[in-house]
Amino acid sequence: MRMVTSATASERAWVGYGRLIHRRLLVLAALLIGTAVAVCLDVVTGPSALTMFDAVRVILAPAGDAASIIVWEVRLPAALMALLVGGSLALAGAEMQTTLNNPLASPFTLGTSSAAIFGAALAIVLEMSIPGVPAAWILPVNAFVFAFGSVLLLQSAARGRGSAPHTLVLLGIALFFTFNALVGIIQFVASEQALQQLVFWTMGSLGRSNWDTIRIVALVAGIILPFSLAASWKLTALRLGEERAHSFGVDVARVRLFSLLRVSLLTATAVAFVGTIAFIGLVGPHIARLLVGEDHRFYLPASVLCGALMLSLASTVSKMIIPGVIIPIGLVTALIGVPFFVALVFFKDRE
Amino acid sequence: MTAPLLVSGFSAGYRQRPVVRDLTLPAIEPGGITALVGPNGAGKSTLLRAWAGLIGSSGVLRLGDIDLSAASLAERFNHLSFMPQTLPQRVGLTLLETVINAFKVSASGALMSRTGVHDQSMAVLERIGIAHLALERLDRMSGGQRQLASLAQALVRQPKVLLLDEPTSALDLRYQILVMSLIHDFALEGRIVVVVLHDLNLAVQWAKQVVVLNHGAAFAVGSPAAAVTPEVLSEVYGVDARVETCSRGQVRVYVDSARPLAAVESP
Repeated sequence: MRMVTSATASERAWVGYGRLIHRRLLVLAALLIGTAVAVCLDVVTGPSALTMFDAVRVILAPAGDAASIIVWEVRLPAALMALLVGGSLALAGAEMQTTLNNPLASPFTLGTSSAAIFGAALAIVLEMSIPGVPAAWILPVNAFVFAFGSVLLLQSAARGRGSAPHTLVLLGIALFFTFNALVGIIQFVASEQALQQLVFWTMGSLGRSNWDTIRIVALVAGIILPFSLAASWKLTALRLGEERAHSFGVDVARVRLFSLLRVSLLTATAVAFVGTIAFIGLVGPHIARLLVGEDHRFYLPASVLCGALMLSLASTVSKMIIPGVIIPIGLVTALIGVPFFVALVFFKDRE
Repeated sequence: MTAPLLVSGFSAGYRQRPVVRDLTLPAIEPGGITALVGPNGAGKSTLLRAWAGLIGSSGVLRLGDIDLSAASLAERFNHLSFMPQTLPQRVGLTLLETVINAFKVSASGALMSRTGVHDQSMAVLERIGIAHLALERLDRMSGGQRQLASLAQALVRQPKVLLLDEPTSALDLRYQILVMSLIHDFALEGRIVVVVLHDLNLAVQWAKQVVVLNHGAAFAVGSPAAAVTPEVLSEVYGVDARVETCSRGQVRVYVDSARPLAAVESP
């Protein structure tokens, strides 16, 4: 009798598991389609009245007319940047939440993006240049140095004995305010020209995207994503607990270090060109987790797509709130993200 | 048959706080459960965690000819499996996924085919009797169910050496017995099983060998009847206890009273 019941339980489990995988693939496909639609919407909305027909026409066959210039020089770069930055930040947030074992971790909430902006601001104000490195790369490189420094600091706090999750969040908040204050000092002493760039960063804007910067962000994201996916089994193991992952034979310290390296690279390149984009890195992974669970083979791609989708939608919304005006996208995501953040804090407390 | 686990001159602990000092044990043979018992802070968990390579240690730790203390992380966990005392975190992963994952990230699981991993994962769930929970998420499970999940994660690789830190602490009576019986069978298959237990009656009922630890040293080692005596319990735990043979011929421990703290030597 027992044999019979256990055999059916096993069969049922396999059918259920197959269905689970199938359902997750469907969710990923739906997210992919949703993201594509959102990008198209983003391209066709804007201050200048451009019909959808016009937009499609000049994308397929660029001409020298005004519509072509608007689409190719303004709309498409901004839309693609939203896609790339949203995906990068959400991937960074997803990895951070796993490696630091904290649901409130994200590049924004723990001060990583503030550190990156400080690094980039320093590069601008000091007019830094590195021989042999193209000028466009200086900002992300310097942003990376500071971002990586900040996550290493967070990591050492997360690993310290007896440190509770809220210790990490408190340290993150401390970093956030410290680097924001430092950026403030730089703003105070900066020249008129540098100030303009700094203000644009602190609000977060897609307005300065061009094909050069897009290429850099795309290159970094394109190189990092496969490494993230390759680490997905180990990251999933880490979710069960550090000691447990170790007892499966996972070199936890190594997995963590490489993950935080990826987080810093993603955050630094995203932030160096568009500035602070609040909450995408926090909210994207949480939505992904609700949709596909925490098997990182699905959770990481779902986070990328959720982030890309959300930032594309935010970009569209930023052009529709006040007709004729593009509100900085960082402000839009902050306004949408804050209620979610508060809900998250209350929900976690109840748990 | 697995070679015996050899421990001698073994010390382990945390920075500035050595917990286990210069411990030497008789060879731990496969084929029966070895129970580690002792009062709180005696060094039971520390010893197991040090064998698993989670904390620093010095001294001899060998599995037959293999020097485990010098082995890399991956090689060490090729031979042994460790079940931590803490329960798995409440995560959005199903039980089956966590077991597949535990197997897949290990050196042996990485080489195995997908169906091999899946079959072995499902088999261990059936063996523990939790196949019906395979698709239940860990964040919706009770503490006891997560402890069984933890056991499944430790067993799935079918290690030669199994180190379990209080595997029954969150379980109800029935599952306590089921789990002890399961790991007893596991030991009879020719594996080494070392279990930290707080429940002395479980220890004397199931173990072939009992190690009583006190202040990081082996106070008594031997068969249950030889190692667990009223004198040992009085000395180590500070309790007045009887060790008697029940009507079925099994050893049973009855604790009558705990002596006042001042009368107990240990802090």
